[in-house]
Amino acid sequence: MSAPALTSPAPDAVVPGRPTVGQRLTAFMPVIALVVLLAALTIADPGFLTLSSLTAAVRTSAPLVVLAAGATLVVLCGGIDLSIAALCSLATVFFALWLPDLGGITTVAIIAATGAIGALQGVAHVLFRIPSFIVTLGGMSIFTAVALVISDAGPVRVVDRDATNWLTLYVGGVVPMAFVVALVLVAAVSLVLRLTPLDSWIRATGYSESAARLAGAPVDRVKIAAFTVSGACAGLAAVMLVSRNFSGSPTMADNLLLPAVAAIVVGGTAITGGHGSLWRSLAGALVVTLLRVGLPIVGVPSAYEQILYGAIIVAAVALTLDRSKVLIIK
Amino acid sequence: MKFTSRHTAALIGVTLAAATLTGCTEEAGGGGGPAAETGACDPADVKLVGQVRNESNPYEAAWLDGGDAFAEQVGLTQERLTYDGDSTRQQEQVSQLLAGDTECLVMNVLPNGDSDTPPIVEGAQEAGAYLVTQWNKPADLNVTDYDTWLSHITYDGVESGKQIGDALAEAIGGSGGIVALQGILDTGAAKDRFAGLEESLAANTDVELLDDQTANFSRAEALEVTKTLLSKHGEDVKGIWAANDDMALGALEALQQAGRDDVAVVGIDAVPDALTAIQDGTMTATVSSDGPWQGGIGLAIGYCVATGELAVEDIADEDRAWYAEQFLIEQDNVADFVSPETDESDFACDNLFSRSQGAMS
Repeated sequence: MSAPALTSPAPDAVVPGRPTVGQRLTAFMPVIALVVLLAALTIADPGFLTLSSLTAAVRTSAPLVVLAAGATLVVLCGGIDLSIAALCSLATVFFALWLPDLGGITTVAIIAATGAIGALQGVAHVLFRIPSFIVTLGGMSIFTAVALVISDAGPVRVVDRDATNWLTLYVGGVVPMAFVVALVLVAAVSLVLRLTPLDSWIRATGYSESAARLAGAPVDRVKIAAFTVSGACAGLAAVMLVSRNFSGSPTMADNLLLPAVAAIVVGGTAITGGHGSLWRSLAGALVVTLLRVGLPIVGVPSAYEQILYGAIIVAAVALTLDRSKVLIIK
Repeated sequence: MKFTSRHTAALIGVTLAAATLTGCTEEAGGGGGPAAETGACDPADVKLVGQVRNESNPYEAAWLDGGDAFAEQVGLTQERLTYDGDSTRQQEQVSQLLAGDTECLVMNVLPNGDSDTPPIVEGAQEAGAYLVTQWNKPADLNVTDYDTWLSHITYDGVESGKQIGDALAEAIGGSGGIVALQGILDTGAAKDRFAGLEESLAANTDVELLDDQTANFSRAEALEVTKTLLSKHGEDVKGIWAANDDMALGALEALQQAGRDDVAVVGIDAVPDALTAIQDGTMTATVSSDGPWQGGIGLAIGYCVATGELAVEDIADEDRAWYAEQFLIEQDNVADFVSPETDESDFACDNLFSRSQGAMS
């Protein structure tokens, strides 16, 4: 509903100053939502809040964090990448097929290949001026079909686990390596954005593309870069999934698309672009993962699970989205 | 802005420092490690979990009901898990489950596909949870290589394909033409069941296989394929052999549309619609794997081992991966299967493997 809320055009965006208590609270909302959810699950089943169960949850969340983090960049630019899950599935098949030949460098090859595919989508979007929704929707069906064909429509087992074994280790005996990798990725990308003009270019593109162009931001290159990173993240997520499932499959990640989009939105990133961050998506991905694995484990019947999931996602977005930063809600 | 980048840098620094200082380990801390080999669980402490794809599938819902029936028998409750036919979701659920208290955990799992079994088995072994799997497992994965993977139960597709082939031959009076609707050709079930039909044909020499086409286990595809086959072979078709009930029901639909009521139809799975059709006399036979029994037996094996009534090393090798008995359903015995119930004696610790038809080949 587009209630024209033009009365509050984000004062702190213009006048630099200390954020108010309310703004600070909104900024931390994703984390608050996470803590509240964890508390609720613990009340439902006191056995849920144990170190090993939290360890398993963050290990499960790693591929989703990586997928959501990559796609967040595209969303920040005002676009959407619907192909991440299908590309990730395709990459799991590539991984399983390439591993016998490439050995240890398969991981790098996968990330490079999916990055290139992402870049290709970005180029198609920018060069032919096709909406990102359509480009990536097309990409989604192409990747799914290619994955089905090259895998003979079935899972491909990975027998040699040396190449992915490092992802299954635990740092300090507690934190799963896959999650550490996801954290480092989020931190590194965030840091690069902060230290370069990229951050303001991406935000400007997301808030108002024409204004960004007039201001001299390299909008096209920024967008292609966002799609490239998004593709590369899909590849990294694929390696994580393979390390967990010991196989690649043409449908392995397909059901992670909507959770990834949910993670981005629950984190408080505006789906219309401009406002948000990768950290928010990290918190959002943890919320979504807790919902996915937590609800059935604490004994919510499967029929009610989907209802609760939907209701909690909507409620979480209502809490986390900072409306003063987003003028029009579509 | 400065602030945030300093925070970020600090976090990366701490993470990297933690990684280098503490080193990496193979296993998560806080876990119990492999549980005691001999089950010493108080029966009241045993946690029973049944996991199938979908409760909207009548066969799988009946499976979970069977698990509930066994749980009630021993004064416990079963945790019902479903993963919507999504392999990734199944793995997520299992790994979350195994992160909880696994000391007396018993799992009866329907893996989504062959390749989903190895991670589940290894997770259970590491956590020391008792596991029984059914239907799907890679041929080269041996149950006897694991301590807490107690048993794998499946069904001989050749046998069921032959059973309904013989029933079909009898229904058409021992001679005449039949057509076959095959399942997804790339699955073991489809291949085995068709091999069973071929065995049956070898024994019933007067029955002629006019045609075989795949309808991918799908009711809608079977409808179309059957229409085509009926117009191609016309009155020569006396019987239709389908590799599952869904396709058999699609074939029945096609026969109805063509106004034919002289054709015998057989399928496999014993879905409720097929049982109704057998009661009505429109369908000839189907084969049941007895879903409620499957739901109970996996939990029963795990329960008996967990409570120490049965030791893993006392389970014979041929009972670690075995074919279970399946039942041919025709009009005379269909009433017994319409509302299947579990029999308590089937789940007694000294009677667990009574339905075995031999080790998996």
